[in-house]
Amino acid sequence: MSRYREAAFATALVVALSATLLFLLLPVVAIFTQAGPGELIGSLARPEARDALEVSLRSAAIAMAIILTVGTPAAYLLATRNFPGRELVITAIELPIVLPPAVAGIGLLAAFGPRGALGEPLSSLGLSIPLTSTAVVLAMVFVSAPLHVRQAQAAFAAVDPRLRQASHTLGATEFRWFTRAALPLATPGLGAGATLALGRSLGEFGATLMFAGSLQGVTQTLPLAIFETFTTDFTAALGLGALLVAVSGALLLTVKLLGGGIGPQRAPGYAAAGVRAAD
Amino acid sequence: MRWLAGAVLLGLSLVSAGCGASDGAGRGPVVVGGAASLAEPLSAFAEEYELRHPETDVQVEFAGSDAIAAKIRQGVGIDVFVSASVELAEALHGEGLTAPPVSIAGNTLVVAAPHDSPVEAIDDLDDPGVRLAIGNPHVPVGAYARIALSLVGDAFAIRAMENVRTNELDARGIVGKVSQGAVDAGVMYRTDAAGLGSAVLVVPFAPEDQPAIRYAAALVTDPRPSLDAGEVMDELTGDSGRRFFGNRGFTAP
Repeated sequence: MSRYREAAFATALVVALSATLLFLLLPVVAIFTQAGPGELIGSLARPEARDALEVSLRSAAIAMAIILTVGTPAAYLLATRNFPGRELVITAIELPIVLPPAVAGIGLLAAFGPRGALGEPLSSLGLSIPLTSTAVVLAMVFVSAPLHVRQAQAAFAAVDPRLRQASHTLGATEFRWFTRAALPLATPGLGAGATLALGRSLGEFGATLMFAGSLQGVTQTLPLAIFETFTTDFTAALGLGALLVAVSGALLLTVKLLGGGIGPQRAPGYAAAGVRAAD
Repeated sequence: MRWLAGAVLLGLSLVSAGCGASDGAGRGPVVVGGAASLAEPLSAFAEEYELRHPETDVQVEFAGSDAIAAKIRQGVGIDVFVSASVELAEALHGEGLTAPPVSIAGNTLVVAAPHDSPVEAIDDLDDPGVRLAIGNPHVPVGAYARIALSLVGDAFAIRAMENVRTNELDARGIVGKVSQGAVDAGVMYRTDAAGLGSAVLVVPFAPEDQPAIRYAAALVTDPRPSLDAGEVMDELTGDSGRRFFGNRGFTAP
C-alpha cells in the first residue's frame, strides 16, 4: 500500500512540475512561434526599437551599479548584526516587492515630484526629476533593489559565522573579511539576487510610465515601446517582445554563469539563499 | 491517493470553469471598452443602466482608444467599443470586427497649465525650455494635439514638438503629468481639464485651430458579443445615453 502511495506521490510531483513548466513556458514559446527570426530582425531595424533597447540597457546598467554598490553592504550589515528594529528595517526594505506598480509610481511622484516631499529642495537646486532619464533609473532601483538586498542578505547569513569569528581571532579586520571572504563565499547568492533585480529592472513598466513618462530615446524603455507598438501593430510588438525575452534571457544566463554555477551542488550559498528567500 | 484524485478533479474543473466563462456569446456581462477620456460619463451610464436592468452586468474598462482597438483585434471579449476617434472605429468596422459606428459626442482641445507654469497662452508652447505633455501619435488625444499644433502654424508646431517631454499612452496620463506639476503644460480634452478644477489655467485652442473631435460607439460583432450588448449599445447611442455626455461638457456629435 505504502509503495503505491509513494509512486502516486512521485507521479503527482512530476505532474506538478510538468504543469508548472508548460504554463510558464507557453506564453514565451508563443511569442517566438508567432514572431519568427524575420520579425525579430525586422523589429531591430525600427529606430524606436533601437532607441528603446538602448534606454533600457543603459538605465538598467546604472540601476544595477547603484543596487550592487549600495545594496550589497546594506545586506551584509543586516545579515551579520543584530540591532533593535532590525526586523522592521527588513520589512520596510522588502515592502516595494509587494507594492503594485501604480503605487510605486505615485509614491515616487509624491517623494521626488515638484509637488512632492523633496520637491522644494530639489527645485531650489534647479533639479526636476520626473520625466527624465534619472526618473527611469530611480523607478528601476525602487522596484528591484529589494529583490537583490533580500537575496544578498540570505547569502551572507548562510556564510558560517564561526569562520568570521575565526578570522577575527586571527587578526583579520572586518573590512578584510568582507572583501576577501564574505563576498566570494556569498557570490552565488549575490548573483541570484542581481539576476532577479536585473530582470525586474528590464521589465519595469507601470512606475516608469507614471514617473518617467515615455519619450523616445530618453525615457521610453523597451516595455513602454512594446505597449505603444501593440496598439497599432501586433506583429511588430511580438518582435519587440521577442527581443526583450532574448536580451533578458541572455543577460540572466550570463549573470548565472558568472555567478559560479547554476546547480545547488556547486553553490551551497545559492541553495541556502533560495531556501531563505522562500520562507 | 484519494486526495490526489480530488485535487486533480478540482484543478480540471477550475480550468474548465475558467474556459467556460470566456466563451463570449451568452448572457455574460456586457463589457464596454471606452476611451480614457470617457471614464466619467461611461461609468455613470453603466451604473444607471444596471439600476434599470438589474439582470445585466455592465463592465466598463478604459484605456487609449488605440489600445482598446488592439484588444478587439486580438479577440479579447469587448462587446461595445467607444472610441475617441471616428476614424479608428470606422477602421475596425472596415476590418469586419464591428457593426457600423455611431457618433455619440464631441469634444474640444485645450492647453492646461499649472498656475506656477510659464505657459499662459497657446503662443507660449514653443518657448524654449517649456516642458510639454501630449499623447503619443497613435492615441486620438495625441493625434488631435498634433493636428491642432500644425493648424496654429507649421514652424510653431515643430518648435512646440521639441518641447514635448512625454508622449502619454492615454488622456489620463496627460492629466496626471499636469496635475503633478511634472510638466509646464499638457494638450488635453476640455472635459479632462475641467476635472482638474481651479488648479490649472485652461486655454482652449482657437476655433479655427480645433481638430474635429468626435466620439463613436460600435457594437463588436467578431467575436459574437454578449446577448445584452445590443441593448446597451442602443441606450448608449439613444437620447438617454447622450444625456450623460452633454451633462459633462461634451459637445453634440
